[in-house]
Amino acid sequence: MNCQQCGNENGNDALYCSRCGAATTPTPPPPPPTDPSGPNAQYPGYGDPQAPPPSAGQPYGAQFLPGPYASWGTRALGLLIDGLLTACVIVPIEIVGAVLRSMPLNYLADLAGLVVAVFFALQIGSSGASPGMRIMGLRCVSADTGQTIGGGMGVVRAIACILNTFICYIGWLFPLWDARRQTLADKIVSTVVCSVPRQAFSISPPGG
Amino acid sequence: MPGYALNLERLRLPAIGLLGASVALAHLPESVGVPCPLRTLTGVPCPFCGTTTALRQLAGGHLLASLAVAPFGIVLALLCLLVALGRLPSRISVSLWVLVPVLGAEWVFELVRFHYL
Repeated sequence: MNCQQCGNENGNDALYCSRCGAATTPTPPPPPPTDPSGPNAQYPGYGDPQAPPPSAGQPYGAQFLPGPYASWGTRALGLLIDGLLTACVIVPIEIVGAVLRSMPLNYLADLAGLVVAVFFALQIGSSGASPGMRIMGLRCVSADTGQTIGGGMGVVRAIACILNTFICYIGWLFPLWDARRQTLADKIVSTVVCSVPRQAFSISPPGG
Repeated sequence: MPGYALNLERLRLPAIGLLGASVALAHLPESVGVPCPLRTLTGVPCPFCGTTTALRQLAGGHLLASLAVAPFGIVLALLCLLVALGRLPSRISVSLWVLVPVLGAEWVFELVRFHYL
């Protein structure tokens, strides 16, 4: 099909124009049915086919995404908060280890850092956000379905994030120029990070 | 092969910042660079290794020294200049037939420079 913005010829199944990055799907595929008791139940309207469509002029193409693509700065702040939270776990153990000159405690600090990283990765996969991302109103979803990617894929995405770092950190800068604001890791596991309204993260009280 | 869609309108300030940082680095008495994690851990350079030095040399007027470190540096500097001056369209698509060979050649250059090839 032809892109409505630049007229570029794209494949029939292309969601985005390969030339300008604009959405090519006039009628986006509906999201798969969501189990109302599933992990996304706390996000009102999320995955709900009856949910109101996004307002006109939103800068994202695929309407099944929970919000516009998140900016690089917002994502960086989310990552910074996650880093600070991880430091809150690691640094006290390292200080005690340094005072006691205990190598096992130093190893424990490394292990604690790894455990926290895996925990955050599982959270990103299962609920779409680590604590830092939640504070910044970010949500990581599949670029193809708009749904969360699951805990296992969250860990795979975290491993792919190593590649972001290993090329002189350039992978982390991809959202500055990428049409879908994906990092290299996002491209590898086909995820996007969106900004969502804050209330989408609040858990409604029972019956409320 | 499909193209890689770039949105350049968000890159104007980063491009100006990168060019400014290059000029600032050229005036520093000592070489300052971002250590590459891959090279620090394994010794193997990544495709973008040497870019900071190349930009610093270029800003200092040492074209040949810049090319000897990372030829990609001058390409990056020219792109940054065009983006900073607003001479490129806000959205472009770069063919992977161009992107992959350019980055591949740069990586081969760095691997040769560090005696891995």
